[in-house]
Amino acid sequence: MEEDIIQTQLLSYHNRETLNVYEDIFARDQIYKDLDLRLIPHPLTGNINPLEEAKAVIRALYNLVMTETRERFFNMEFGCPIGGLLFNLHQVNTLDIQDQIKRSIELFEPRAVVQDIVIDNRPDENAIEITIYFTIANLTPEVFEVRLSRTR
Amino acid sequence: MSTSQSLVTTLKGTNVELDFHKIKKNLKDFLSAQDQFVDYNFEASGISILLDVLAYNTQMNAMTAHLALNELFLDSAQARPNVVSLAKQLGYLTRSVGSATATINLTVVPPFSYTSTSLTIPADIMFSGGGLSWYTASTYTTTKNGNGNFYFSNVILREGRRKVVRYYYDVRRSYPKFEIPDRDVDTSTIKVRVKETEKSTIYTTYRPFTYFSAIDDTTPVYFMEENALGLYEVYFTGGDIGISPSEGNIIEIEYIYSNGAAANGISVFKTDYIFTKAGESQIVRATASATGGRDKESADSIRFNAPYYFEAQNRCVSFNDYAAVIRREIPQVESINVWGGESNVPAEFGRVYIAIKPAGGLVIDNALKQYIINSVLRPKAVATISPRIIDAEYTYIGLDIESRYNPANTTNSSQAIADIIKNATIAFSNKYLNVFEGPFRYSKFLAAIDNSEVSIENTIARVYLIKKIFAYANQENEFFLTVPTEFYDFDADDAIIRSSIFRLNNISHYLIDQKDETDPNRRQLVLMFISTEGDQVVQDVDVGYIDLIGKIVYIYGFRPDTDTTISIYVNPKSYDIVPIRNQIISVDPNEVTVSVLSDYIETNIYPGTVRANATPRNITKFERG
Repeated sequence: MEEDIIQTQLLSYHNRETLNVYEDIFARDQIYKDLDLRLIPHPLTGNINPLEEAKAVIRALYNLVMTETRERFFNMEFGCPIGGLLFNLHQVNTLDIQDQIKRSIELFEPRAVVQDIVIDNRPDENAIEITIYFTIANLTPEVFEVRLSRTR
Repeated sequence: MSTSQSLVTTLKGTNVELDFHKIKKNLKDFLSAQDQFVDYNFEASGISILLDVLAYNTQMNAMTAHLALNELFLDSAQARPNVVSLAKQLGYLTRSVGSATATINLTVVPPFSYTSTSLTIPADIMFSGGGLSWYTASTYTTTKNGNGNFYFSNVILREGRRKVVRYYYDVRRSYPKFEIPDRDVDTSTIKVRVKETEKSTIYTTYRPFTYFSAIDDTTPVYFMEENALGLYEVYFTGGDIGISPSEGNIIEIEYIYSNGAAANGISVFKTDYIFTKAGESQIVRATASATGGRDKESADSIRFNAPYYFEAQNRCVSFNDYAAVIRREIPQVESINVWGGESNVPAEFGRVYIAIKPAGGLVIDNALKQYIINSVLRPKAVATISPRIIDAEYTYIGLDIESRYNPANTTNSSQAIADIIKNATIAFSNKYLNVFEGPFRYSKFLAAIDNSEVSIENTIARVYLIKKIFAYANQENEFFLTVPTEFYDFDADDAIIRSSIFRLNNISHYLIDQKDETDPNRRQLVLMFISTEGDQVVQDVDVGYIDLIGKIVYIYGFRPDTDTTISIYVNPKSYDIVPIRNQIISVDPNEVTVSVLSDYIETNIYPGTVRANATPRNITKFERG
């Protein structure tokens, strides 16, 4: 009997490792809390306050969209392969961008459930404005906007 | 930050981890114990990015420390330049590529107008063979024979191309080193000459450094080492030991760079050089295929040899010293065994026996033996000990292999599997045998065969030993053959050894053994002939004997009609064959028979009802040959 219990615990641990985040999302017992990499101190306390709930997820989406694939060591798939499109803005296919962003979010940010992605191509400004409408699992709907612009 | 366990406890494995993902997992495990930042499991979160940076940094540091520490020691260093550098600290000079040598007999038939009665072949005359270049190793002279031809015997050709590089000696550089630009240089061919100025015609020849007692402050000596690029460098002492070139001197380094092992086995040579006059003809016959070509010493070999060489201290005292010194000095050596005279049979005190197998060949030539004794060993050996180099004695293994296979597990035909088995046998021989102290381990061999093809279920192999002798026509032949294992059965009524068939007085004969009623430790050799009716009749009972205790076959007194190679097949007592002293064991591919049958158990629907037809371990009568 004791062996059975140990076995069950091992399996449970194994599942958690392989299936990972979904278990956290749908049966979470704590709020999302992340470090703000902008490291802006609080004007009164001077502390770096953690980002919580929606803000944490929005910041994660920003990190994801602004990271080019093959940029992260040992995790080449991570990111969104849309940076290269900025150099060919006249031929940008908005459907492609939507697909890429949606796929990346599904793979790497399962907390966000995408409702819509709006692409506003602005070739004169060498930029694309991307608006992502999404809900956070177990929370109210959110909107996240990001502007991609060429730096060279 | 509230933590239920300390950072040190959680991350105690991190410092020894070399895998990025494991390091990151350790960091996550640590974070799981706090509630300040909980998003570490989401790859896009800021804390996850920070963990990536931390893990990457940790991994880089761990890898750097790991590699740096490993590369500091000869045992664990992997990069060849580091292995070479560490060996250098032990005074070990890495072995270069060794150029192959071939021995030819050359007949020059001069035109009638050539009247001189003697002819000299200069050194460095180029021959071609196997698409490679060969040079005469030294000068050869002969006189015209009765047929009006010039016959040169045992002319040694060395494979490679000769090259000279020249350097200007610049005194502004302290201890300058002069690089030899070819990685394939054979260092034993290097000649270093120095002349005063560009226009000088007088050279001072420098010799390689051997040991300090051989040089004084007037000795022109050069040193050599391999650099980090894998190139050899020549350098001088700067005047501290021996003499050194001075400002403005021209240093010429002459050497041969060669193709190493690729030249072994070549036996057809020709030259465009005209030795006498236009109109001459030449006949070039190789007395043996080219041998001794070796590739540059590998890191593994350096790792093995350098400590032994250091232990030897450039002196020949123990057995290992002899082996280490010869291995370093003679690039052609593939395998070597050394033993004291007291262990020899018969014992001979005051001697050291050395057996050498050259790369790509069976035995080394006499000139090389003399060179090793006089130039390599004598200056380093203990004065009262006399080294003797003897040839390797080969014992071949013949095999009757029978394998059972499951046709459902393979698309190969039984013939294709037989070919695979034969190739696996040859590969086994090349990997484990063909060297001194390379035993034939029966179970290892069967495992190799079983693993050679996925459908093979089991294998049985009968092992025979074969000694090959070359008998000359019309003279009394005498052979003293040692066998590396005991004979099958001392008291057997049937033969335990048997020879291949040879012609004697125009009749097929063979040798066989029988019981010696007077001596239980011996068996008598008998010469048999096969009559025209096919009967096998005893011709002579006094042609030799087997010493069962000494494991020796002694054959004497028979004269075949023509020069012929005869195989003596021996039925051994054990299938594990262990060579000693100068014995080398090798599988003879021509003596390997393979039969592949479909396995009874796997192919029969009701395998438990009918007895399988298994292969017998021993045949009832030894009739090989």
